Amino acid sequence: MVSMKKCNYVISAVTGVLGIVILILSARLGTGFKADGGISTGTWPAIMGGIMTVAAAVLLIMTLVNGKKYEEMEVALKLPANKRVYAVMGIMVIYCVLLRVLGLYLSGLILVPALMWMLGERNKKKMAIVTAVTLAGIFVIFQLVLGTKLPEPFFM
Amino acid sequence: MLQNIVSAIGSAASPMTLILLIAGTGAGILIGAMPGLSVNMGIALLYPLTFAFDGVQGIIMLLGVYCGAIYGGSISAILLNTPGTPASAATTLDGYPMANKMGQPGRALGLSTTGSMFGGVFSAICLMVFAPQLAKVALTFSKAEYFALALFGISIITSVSSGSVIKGLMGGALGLFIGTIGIDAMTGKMRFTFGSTYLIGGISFIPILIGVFAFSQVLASIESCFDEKYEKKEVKISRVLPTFSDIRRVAVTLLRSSVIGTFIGCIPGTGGDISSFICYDQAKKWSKYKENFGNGEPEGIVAPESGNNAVSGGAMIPMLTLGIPGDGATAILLGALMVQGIAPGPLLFTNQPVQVYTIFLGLLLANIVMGCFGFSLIRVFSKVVNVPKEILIPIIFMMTFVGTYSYNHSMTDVYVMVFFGFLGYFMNKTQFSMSAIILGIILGGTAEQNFSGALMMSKGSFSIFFTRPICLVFLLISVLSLMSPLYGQAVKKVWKNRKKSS
Repeated sequence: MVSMKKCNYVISAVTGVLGIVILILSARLGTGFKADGGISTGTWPAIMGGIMTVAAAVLLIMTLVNGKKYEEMEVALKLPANKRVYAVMGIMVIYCVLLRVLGLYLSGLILVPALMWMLGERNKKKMAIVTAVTLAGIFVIFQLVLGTKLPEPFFM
Repeated sequence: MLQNIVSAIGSAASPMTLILLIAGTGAGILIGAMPGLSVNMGIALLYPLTFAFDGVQGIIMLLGVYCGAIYGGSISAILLNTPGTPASAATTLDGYPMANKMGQPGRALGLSTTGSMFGGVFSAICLMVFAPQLAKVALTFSKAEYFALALFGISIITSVSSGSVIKGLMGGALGLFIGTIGIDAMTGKMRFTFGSTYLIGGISFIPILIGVFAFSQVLASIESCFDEKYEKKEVKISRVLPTFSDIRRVAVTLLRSSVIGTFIGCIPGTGGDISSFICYDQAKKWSKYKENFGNGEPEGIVAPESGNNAVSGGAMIPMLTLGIPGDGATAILLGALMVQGIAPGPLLFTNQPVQVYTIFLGLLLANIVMGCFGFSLIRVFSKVVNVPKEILIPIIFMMTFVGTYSYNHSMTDVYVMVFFGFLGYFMNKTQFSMSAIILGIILGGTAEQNFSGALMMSKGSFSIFFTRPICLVFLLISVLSLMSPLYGQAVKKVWKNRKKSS
């Protein structure tokens, strides 16, 4: 478990940096008002950058002032359950590459059983049936009925 | 007007629309019945299917998903004591005891179906009656009022739906910023594109929507089911249709809860979960059978169910007339309407009346179809609670990829969806509101254009926002809602002391 206090520090830092970057980039676009009273191109995003920067500062101050309260609030990020989620995230990143290379159906033949295995399923027959039914269902609904084009292998 | 209504009936009753409505409602009930899947997730997952259809047909399907999913949550609430959606949490209080202790699951499911259908139909009728009247008032709004409304909508959802108002504000600002990426509609200049062809068109909200509402939620389900042992629940459901004595017992509660639910739905930022608990409390307060609540009291089932389904019509009132969604689900519907070229707001009623009336009829029919499904097929739907997570989760992941790709046939959209899915998983854990981000993206363009337009009207003077009464009221409420953590505790203390002394 990680304390909300640590999380708030990270959130403040990331949001503060993002807000400042947005302010700098918006300034390059031109902020302020036009002759007709309307706003310049960079004004609205600069306002958002300003809000994010101020909010980051307020969150930092609130976390420092109420340190004990946020220390007691826990965020589950390091439990075995979370590690399983991170493993699935890793699978998803690999799948994004496979999807581009192999197309939907071939990569789906790998993804569905991999996820079922990760979730504790060990019955190979069940994995095969679920994979087949899922891909068949996608083919029927999206390609046949709706006429949607789906990702194809790079060699096709 | 009569001609518009006749055209709308023709549109809503067309075979394809009815098929989509029935399919959407059925899918919604299934999604709602499965714990871990939410109303927002269901709408986000099935939203890409609407691209294949013209106009409001796809929207009608999403309305079916909306109504069906809210009702579907009661199935697992009653049978498993686990609400399928947050809006059905209050239904467990009397639904599960009636099903388990009293051994009457059919009666409990029948009462929940009755409550849901009545509440939904009631709110749909209110939508038809009140929305056109509110639209007439909103026609007098200028750009300053529209800007204030957009801000009001984002601030209310920010302050109500996130665990931390500051983080909700960060999320809202992030969403508003994401909406600026691409070509500036007013000056034609490119903003934050960094030479990327993809970013010139802006980041579409659809991959972000599917990422934060569907993908991230499935990741959360993987975490929550880590140590769960699968147990198949066998349920024998006998009579489902409520008896005449049950109907007589709950009639007043049905009406009261439907009124409360419709009203709560109109308030932006609230939703079925708040409505269901308020309706349950009120039902208990006014009931002749107070001592029976918590032990399988029929009123304790119909009150939250009619209350949560009545939110659907109520939430559509500000969404259609003002472009301000009443809850997270209507925020997604708002985006769906805009993508289909139907711009919610008061002008919708004058420019596209047939579409508006079709949506009214669609919501009414969705609730009737939901009731019919509930009474006739509840034994089939109740089997869904036994689907193991190992089968469900991979299917949902595949649907997120397929749905995202089908929008624009862009792999970059898929990568954006996965990125926001990961981000959404961590943001949900740290008290951010996904609804605030999505609403910021949807309303960002409107807010900026009206802000600039209002300043042009006043030649650059900010006094326009403070001298127009409606604009000032909306801005004041926005500021008050964002500052609620500062005075909220003090107000609660004063209220408690007053209760103690009285």
